[in-house]
Amino acid sequence: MNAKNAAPETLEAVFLRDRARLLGFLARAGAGAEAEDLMQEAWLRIESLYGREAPDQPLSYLYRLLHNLMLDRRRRESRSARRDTEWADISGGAVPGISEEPDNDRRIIAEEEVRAVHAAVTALGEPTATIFRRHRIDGIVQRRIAEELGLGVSTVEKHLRRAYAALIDWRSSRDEA
Amino acid sequence: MTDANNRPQHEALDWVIRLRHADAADWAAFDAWLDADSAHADAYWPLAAADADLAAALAQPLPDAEVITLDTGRRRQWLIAALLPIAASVALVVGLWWTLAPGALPHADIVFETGAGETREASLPDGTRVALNGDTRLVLEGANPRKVRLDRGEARFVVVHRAEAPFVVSAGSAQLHDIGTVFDVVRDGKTVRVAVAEGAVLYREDAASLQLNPGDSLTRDANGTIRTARIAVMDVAAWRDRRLAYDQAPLELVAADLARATGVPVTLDPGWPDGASAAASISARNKRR
Repeated sequence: MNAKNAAPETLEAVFLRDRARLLGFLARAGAGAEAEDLMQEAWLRIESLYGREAPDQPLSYLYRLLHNLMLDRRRRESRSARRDTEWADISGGAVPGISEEPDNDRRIIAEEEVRAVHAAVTALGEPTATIFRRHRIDGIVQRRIAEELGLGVSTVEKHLRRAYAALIDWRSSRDEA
Repeated sequence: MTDANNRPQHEALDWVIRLRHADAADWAAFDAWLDADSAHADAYWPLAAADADLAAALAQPLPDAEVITLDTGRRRQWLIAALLPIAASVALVVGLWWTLAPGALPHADIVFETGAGETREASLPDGTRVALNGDTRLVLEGANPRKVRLDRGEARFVVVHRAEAPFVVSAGSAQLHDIGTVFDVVRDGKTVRVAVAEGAVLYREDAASLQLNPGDSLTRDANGTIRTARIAVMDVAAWRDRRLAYDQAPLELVAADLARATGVPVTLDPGWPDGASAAASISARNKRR
């Protein structure tokens, strides 16, 4: 790939060069007939960033962009499938500089739901709750969380697994209810 | 979901966590994992969706706070119209006073100022005690000893209450009227935070007013939106004990407080998600001695 210290390649260049690989990724991720469409959507996103500073790691940026576009579609589909509380469509943050298209029908999350999620995190107990918040909300890497809390990285990892598993379980059970 | 015979689920969860901070190699490994078994994608996406839903909800502020939007735009216009004649006559009186009393210079303002990392305590002429946190500028408006203006930074007041002459702190467009009180005020540009330890404070801005009682805190953001929340009375002006306590505070705010208290510039790590309304529970103890 590009030499160290050289200016990062542009997203466009990497997109075109690794097109086959990225399209394959979407197929393997189960995008099916939507794969080409997602590639097109990603390209439009990239174009709209023209003139901005290129991300340090263009390829992982593109992977994440495609991943998030696909995730957004799946979430929208399952949302319209269930007539449940509308969750705000804020999957951004994962791709710096790209704000996810806001849903027009997006509503403010029911206060009770938000409170319930916060309570579910708190119910994890400490230090699990703090570790989860640092990782998922503040976007801190595990190594740094370990340093901050004076814990081993493997301990942080263990807490994270437990937190994600419990919360995702909790979230899924609410959907089924 | 985590039982051992459900391996795709197990691995999918690991990917949800790992992909938060993935480089190109991680993504390639994820791609290879998806390729290994078509069941992998089926296991992964529901977890990823649940995770994204959780994150979306967590990005919302905890709604134990009552949100009051100061919709005073129209009322203010009305108020200005009503006050204009009064203001004109006041100006006239002041003008007259100036010409009639040419020797009477206005009292000079008294300025209390601290550098970042420095704290200071002072007594005001009326006996009110004030503690200034770092990087703070407080102006005692000379003509009225019961009126102070917080230009920036943070101050804790222990007010000597006088019913006939309320103690008033102005911070930007907000005014705080004490009702016999210990309270803390932070001003950062247009953002104002107030927390009350004892007594009560009347928060006023334009036509709106709100009474804050012990354990009440109020944040007015730069857009004029006001949120109230509860705070442990012990945590009001905790900076005086070299302690900073937060519950679900935006990280920008924490960074600003740390810089003020320590004199060390604090900036947010650019690696943190862009514009995330980061809410974290941080309790820091500054053991500097």
